[in-house]
Amino acid sequence: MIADIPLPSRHGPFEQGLWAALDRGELAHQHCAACDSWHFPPRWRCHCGGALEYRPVSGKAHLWSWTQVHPPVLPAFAPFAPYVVGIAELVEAPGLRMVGSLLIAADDPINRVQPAQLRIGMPLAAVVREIAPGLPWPAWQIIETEQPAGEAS
Amino acid sequence: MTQGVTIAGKVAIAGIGQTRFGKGLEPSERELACMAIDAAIRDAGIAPGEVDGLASYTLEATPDFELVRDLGLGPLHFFSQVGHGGGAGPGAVGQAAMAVATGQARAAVVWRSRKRSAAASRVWAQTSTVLEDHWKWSRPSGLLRPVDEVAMLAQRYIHEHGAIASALARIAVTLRDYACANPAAQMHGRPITAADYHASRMVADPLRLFDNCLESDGAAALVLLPADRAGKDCVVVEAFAQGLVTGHQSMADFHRPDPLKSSSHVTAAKLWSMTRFTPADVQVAQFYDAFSPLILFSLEAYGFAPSGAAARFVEEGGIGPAGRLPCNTSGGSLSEAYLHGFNLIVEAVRQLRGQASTQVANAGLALVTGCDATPNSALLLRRQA
Repeated sequence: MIADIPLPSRHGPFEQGLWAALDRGELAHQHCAACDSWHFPPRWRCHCGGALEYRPVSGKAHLWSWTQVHPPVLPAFAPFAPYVVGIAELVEAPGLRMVGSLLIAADDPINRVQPAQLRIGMPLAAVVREIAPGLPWPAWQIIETEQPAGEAS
Repeated sequence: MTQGVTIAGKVAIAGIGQTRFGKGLEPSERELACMAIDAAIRDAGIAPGEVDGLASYTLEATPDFELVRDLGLGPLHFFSQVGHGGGAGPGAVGQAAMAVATGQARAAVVWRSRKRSAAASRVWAQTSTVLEDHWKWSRPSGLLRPVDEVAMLAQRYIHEHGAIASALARIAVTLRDYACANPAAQMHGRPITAADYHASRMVADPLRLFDNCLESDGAAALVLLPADRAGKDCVVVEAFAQGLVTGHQSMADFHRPDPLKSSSHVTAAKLWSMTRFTPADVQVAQFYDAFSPLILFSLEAYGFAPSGAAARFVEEGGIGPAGRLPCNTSGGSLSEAYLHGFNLIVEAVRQLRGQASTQVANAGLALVTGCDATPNSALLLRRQA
């Protein structure tokens, strides 16, 4: 956990199911039964007009992009800089992506992973952990695989 | 094919004005706004009391009524602000142009004034402790600054299309060269080389210091008049468009199938639908360049290079003074000044008047764009003989 980071309000519209799942240590996103699509960030309804309800997701993802953030940064993050931040694309749907820290071990600090260890398309798994007191949020653990011959994504 | 009634040729940018650009300028943001607007009004040859329209960015800190009182403008019959930071500039001009074209305003001023060089004024440094807006989805994970967000898109672009480092270096050096020819530029007299670029410190991998815009104080302003009031040989608005693609969220635009197909793409499609001209007709462009990859993205979005080919376009000298499309010819946000892109619009007018520091020969049609990473806007300006 990092003290004094900017915190997300948990009271935004259509978000209750997201936070309820995270509080249980799980990850869920809005799903449209009518057209079988997934959505994040939370919204009123599906573009097809269908109703949305939160359903658990697998937590499996691939690395869509990343950057390594160098100073100057907000004071809360300064002791960790430079650190990598990733974007995970969940296997459930193209475009279903979340920004989060990348990890080797589930309890790593945010700055253990190095750019040389990263390959866009590499498999990730969600690790829901508190990034501030009372704030569960998924970070993404790099899944060890044998070096693949081709790109996953 | 053009759609409906357009504003093509109906509104002239009849006056331009700007202050000094620099760090730590003494005048307040409001004084800077007054100085730039006063210069633009004098350049247009009208009286302050004739101005009955004002448009600006929602980022603007000075209320319109203060400027009306300070400068003796008005009474006003049109006042508007356009949102989304760097995406706002051409939109603010375009909305004012629509007002002038329809008679809602007879003379409109559009301005941007900024004292940005103090670190405390950086927008990202003002992050509140509880995030209510869409940045709640990314900032708590440490993705804090606009450069971090653009870096994510640049890294993805590299994955899809190949290396861009030498193109980014070429952008930084080309714009610095333009600034060195422009005595008003903040970086005038401070040339850099590609080696300097590659040696500059990393800020957000793959983006380095010289991929970032300047921190600037300064102001710039335009006066819009009906074209028939502006006389012969004026600069007119040929076309204007705004664009926001479905699923987009400002800057942290990561949550739809193809974020590299940015709001610029829908802005461009609308822009080109509003005019008989095509990208092939454009002789000079001013692309919003808070970060250098935005020039690559914009070259593709507005139709000057195929998808994935912008780096090659730049590496072959395409944006230089002898290139196919000289870009950001006053030095742009990287090397002239960073006024959320408003100085780019002033430079487009100078090019069409034949008054630019690096003048493109016989420039008759100029494109100006807003930020590729936000809801966006663009202007096509034409010299009317």
